[in-house]
Amino acid sequence: MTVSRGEIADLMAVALARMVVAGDVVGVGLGTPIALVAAMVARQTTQHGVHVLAGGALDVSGGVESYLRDPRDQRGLTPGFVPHLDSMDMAERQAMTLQFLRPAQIDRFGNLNTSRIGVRSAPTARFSGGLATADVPTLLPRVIAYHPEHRPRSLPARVDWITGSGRGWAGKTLKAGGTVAVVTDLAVIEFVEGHGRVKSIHPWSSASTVGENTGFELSLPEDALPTPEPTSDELEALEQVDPRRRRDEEVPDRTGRDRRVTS
Amino acid sequence: MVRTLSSPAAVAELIPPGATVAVGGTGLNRKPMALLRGIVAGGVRDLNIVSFLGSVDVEYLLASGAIADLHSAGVSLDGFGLAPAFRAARQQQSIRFIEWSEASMVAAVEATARGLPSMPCSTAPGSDVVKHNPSLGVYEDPPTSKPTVFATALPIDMALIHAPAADAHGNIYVDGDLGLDGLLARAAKTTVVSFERQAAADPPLAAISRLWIDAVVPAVGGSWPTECHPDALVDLGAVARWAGSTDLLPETLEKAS
Repeated sequence: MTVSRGEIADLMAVALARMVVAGDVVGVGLGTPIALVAAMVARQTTQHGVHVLAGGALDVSGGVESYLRDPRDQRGLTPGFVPHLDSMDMAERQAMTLQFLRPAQIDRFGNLNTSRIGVRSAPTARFSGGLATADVPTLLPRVIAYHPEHRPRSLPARVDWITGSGRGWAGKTLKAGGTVAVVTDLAVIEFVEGHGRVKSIHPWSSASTVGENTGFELSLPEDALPTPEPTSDELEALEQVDPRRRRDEEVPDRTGRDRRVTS
Repeated sequence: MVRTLSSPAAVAELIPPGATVAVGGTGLNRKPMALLRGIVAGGVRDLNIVSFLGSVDVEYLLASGAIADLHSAGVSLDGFGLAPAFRAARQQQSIRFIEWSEASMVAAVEATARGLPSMPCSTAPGSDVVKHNPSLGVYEDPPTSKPTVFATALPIDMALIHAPAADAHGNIYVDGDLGLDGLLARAAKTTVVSFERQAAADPPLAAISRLWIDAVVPAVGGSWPTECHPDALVDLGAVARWAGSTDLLPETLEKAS
């Protein structure tokens, strides 16, 4: 079945948005538009009371572009700025409750890699570095990862480099929930006690495709349903918060497997 | 006593070879680019650079061949994606990269600023960042016996900061996020600040007291192509050009075309 970049970005964003719960304070980065769009869609559709913090600005009115604006243009659009060091303290004090992170790799323990692919002495790819990814998964009540290219290399048995440690440290120092789920271009997977469990499969995908493209064993409950398509409310919210479709930039423009990208 | 330098290039004479130099600003915000150009023009090489959240600062120094060791919690071009010179340097292993997380680097700089041997931090003990960074280790927190990451103090010879304003006494004013700059100024043996404009003295409102400042130097547009609120916006075109650059010539980051 054929699917466009836009359909993938839309379904990933709304799947993330549906995991926002009442009372959440969602922190997202400015370099990850799907995460920002998801948090804003949640605020616009079902969870009006949640807060969205991005780039130091809180609950900026307007769309995604307002968050990406220069701070001088945000005066009057935001009720508050949070300095970077304070946002770190918010994570440490759990005043932030949820982050959407986009790692290069994630494994069944919820370990996240934002650093490098390949062995340390001969890496084949390098990324930005530790950032807060080495800090937040053991601090926040929930971290939800997303990856727009679900392949065995992106979801391996074990990540090549543990930037953010997952459930392996549960019960020792983990005061928080760790990485609880990953949303990909094929499915939504939850992590429970070191196991990945398919929660839903996107309409253009299938159980066998998800299994073949995952580097670890997945349990597929009988009740795993298709990921519900975006509702009309969600589509309206997507259009309002991201009319220029910045979210599509995160979905690679390439063809492959059964996911034939048309635009 | 705060000195005023004759030009940003004069900073090169203050830096001993092999010094550890911390670069202020975060991401595409208030990077002291004029001071870095002064260092490169002065022929200073083999630097140990500390850049909390690096962007074109690290890119420029890498493209100029000025970095031996790089300490950072991350280098990217924010919305413009991965930093090409950083990526190339790490893939070719032409520099030694010491990877930090945000919380651990803050702890290491804070330990230096407070004159402590180490500081605990909230970084995950299971992270490979902790395993491979020689300044980090997992220890039992003495009072509670909980496994905790400790960061040893990170010595810094010089901090370089760019700010929108300084007053005649050398107090520094910043409009917006100070990032790590206040800590860096307190941790470094020498702190040099370039500034956009001179402001009327209002010491209680200073973001960084003159107490921590050794030298200031006027540098209009000294953060280009990064932002210096409210004086300068990010030059998005220049950052995009660098992100798409394949020859990675340092001149591309020397002046607006």
